Amino acid sequence: MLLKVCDVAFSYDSIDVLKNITFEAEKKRIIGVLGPNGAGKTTLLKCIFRVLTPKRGVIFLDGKDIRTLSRIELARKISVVTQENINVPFTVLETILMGRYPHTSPLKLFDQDASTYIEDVIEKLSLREFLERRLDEVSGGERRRIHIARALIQQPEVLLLDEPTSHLDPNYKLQIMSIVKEFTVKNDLVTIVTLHDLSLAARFCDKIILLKNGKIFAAGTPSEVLTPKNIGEIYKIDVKIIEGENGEILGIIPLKTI
Amino acid sequence: MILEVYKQIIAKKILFMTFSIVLFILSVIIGVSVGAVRIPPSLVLKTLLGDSSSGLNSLYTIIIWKVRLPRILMASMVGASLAVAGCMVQGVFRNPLASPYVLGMSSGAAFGAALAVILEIWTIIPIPIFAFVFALLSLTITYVVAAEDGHLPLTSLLLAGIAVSSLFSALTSFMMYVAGEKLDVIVFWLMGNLTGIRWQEVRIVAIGSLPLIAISLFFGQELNVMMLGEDTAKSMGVEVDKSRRIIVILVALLVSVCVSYVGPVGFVGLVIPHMVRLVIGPDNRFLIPASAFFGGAFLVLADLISRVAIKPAEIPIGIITSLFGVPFFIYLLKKRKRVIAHATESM
Repeated sequence: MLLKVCDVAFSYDSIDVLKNITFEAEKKRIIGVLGPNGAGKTTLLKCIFRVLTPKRGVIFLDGKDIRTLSRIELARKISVVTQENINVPFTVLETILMGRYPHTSPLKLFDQDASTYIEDVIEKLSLREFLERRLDEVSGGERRRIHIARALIQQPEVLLLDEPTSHLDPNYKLQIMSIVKEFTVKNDLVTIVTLHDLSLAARFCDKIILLKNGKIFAAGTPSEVLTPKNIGEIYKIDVKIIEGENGEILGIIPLKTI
Repeated sequence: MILEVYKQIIAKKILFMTFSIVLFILSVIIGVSVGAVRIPPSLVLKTLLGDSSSGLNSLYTIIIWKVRLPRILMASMVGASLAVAGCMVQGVFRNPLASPYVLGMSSGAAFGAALAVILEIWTIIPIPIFAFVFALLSLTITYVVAAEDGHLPLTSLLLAGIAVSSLFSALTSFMMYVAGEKLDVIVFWLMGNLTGIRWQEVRIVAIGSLPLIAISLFFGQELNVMMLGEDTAKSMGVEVDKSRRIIVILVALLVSVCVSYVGPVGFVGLVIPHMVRLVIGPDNRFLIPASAFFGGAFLVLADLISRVAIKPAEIPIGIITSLFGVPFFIYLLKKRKRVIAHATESM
């Protein structure tokens, strides 16, 4: 086990956004954080990469309180794809290579030691043909892949993805989640991803944390957590769940609002 | 393979950087050679390289060393400093429309200069000292107004800069209103000029600006990362608030040092970084040094025009930079509307 979130609470002024959040995240596993808009998913991620400081509770990384790490030390362990979507006209390759920032001197242009790994990431995310294009000339789905590549090139132990599949077509959604899964297993990552797509979460996450009003409403495997009852309670919708032969969830279809 | 692609990407930048350096050297030689007395470039080169054996005309030597060279070196340093400051301000604000003057220092400096003239103490304490003190005062006010418990939010910084700028502009206008016969001196200073620059001033500005430019070069990659977004930058290991504070102070000092000596020279800090960015892209590790040389060359050439356009009179250099800068800026605005729209959206 690598990441441990202990009794974390956070509030903006007097409004509680997170309360009593406790969970552990293991290597080679994807944790999906789900919940309606405003449930505190992004806030939780921000607490983990320390853009926000919890009002209570501690987050441990390999037994170390993350508050004892400097920002650069933290960046060597945790990398993030946020929802920020800024089109500065860097080339795709320049953007991806910035992922080496926490590992190299500010004057070094290219990190030769990591070049094999960088090649591998670019290959896996099929970005080779885009390398010389500008960030403001690629599509939303491509940009998402570029930022995931940048985050992977940071060579983290923990990968945080804030809604990596929003606004993407079904093909990109599957592609991105498959790549994330592959790297999580191959590189021993702890991956935490916030999602709105229930079917996708059920299919790719090893564990689901369902948030409601800043509290953990349910946590466990997809089949345990994503029940019609829980989903109805959280999202106020009726759903039909399609199960495979072994009881795994293949898809969750929203039918109507309650 | 990736390294090959990367080499291709930076080849253009390195080429342009080389071009800027060559342009800079050429502009210095031309700047020294052209003027009321025309000196052959070959002689200029010989004199600058310290060759005194060829029986150089001693009048030429005096013109070169005592009159033109200090002035041209001052123009290069001011051009370079303002361009570097412009790169950093545009990077921090993620907005190509930001100029190093947005933080309010130039208005502060202008007020300081006007005050020194009105109080008639400029014979005892030189105008630049007064201007510098008030530039720092305006920075302090901007900074204190913008800071919110350890953070320096961009919008607050921009608004505070505009407010402080307006305040000091109003005060300067008032000074001009009551200046009477001293109005000429103030107006002359406000237009920005390089007349009568001596080695002593060149030395002071060099001590102030060259180390600051050198320090700025180390912030290239940090600025790049910051341009990806505040949270992203933090997640990649940048202490955003700390870096922003350091960069704002670097910019403020660069601008204050220059503006105090030559007045608020317009548009260099806005247009040069923008122009260079159009050619080589936004990577600040290349943008900052290339803009330094390009800005230096630009101001040396602008100074040349200001000296020879209506001989024997001189046009203040601020007028020249704006005259050339504004049409170009409008052109950029028309051409790059899309990019600017993106940048302002993301602020």
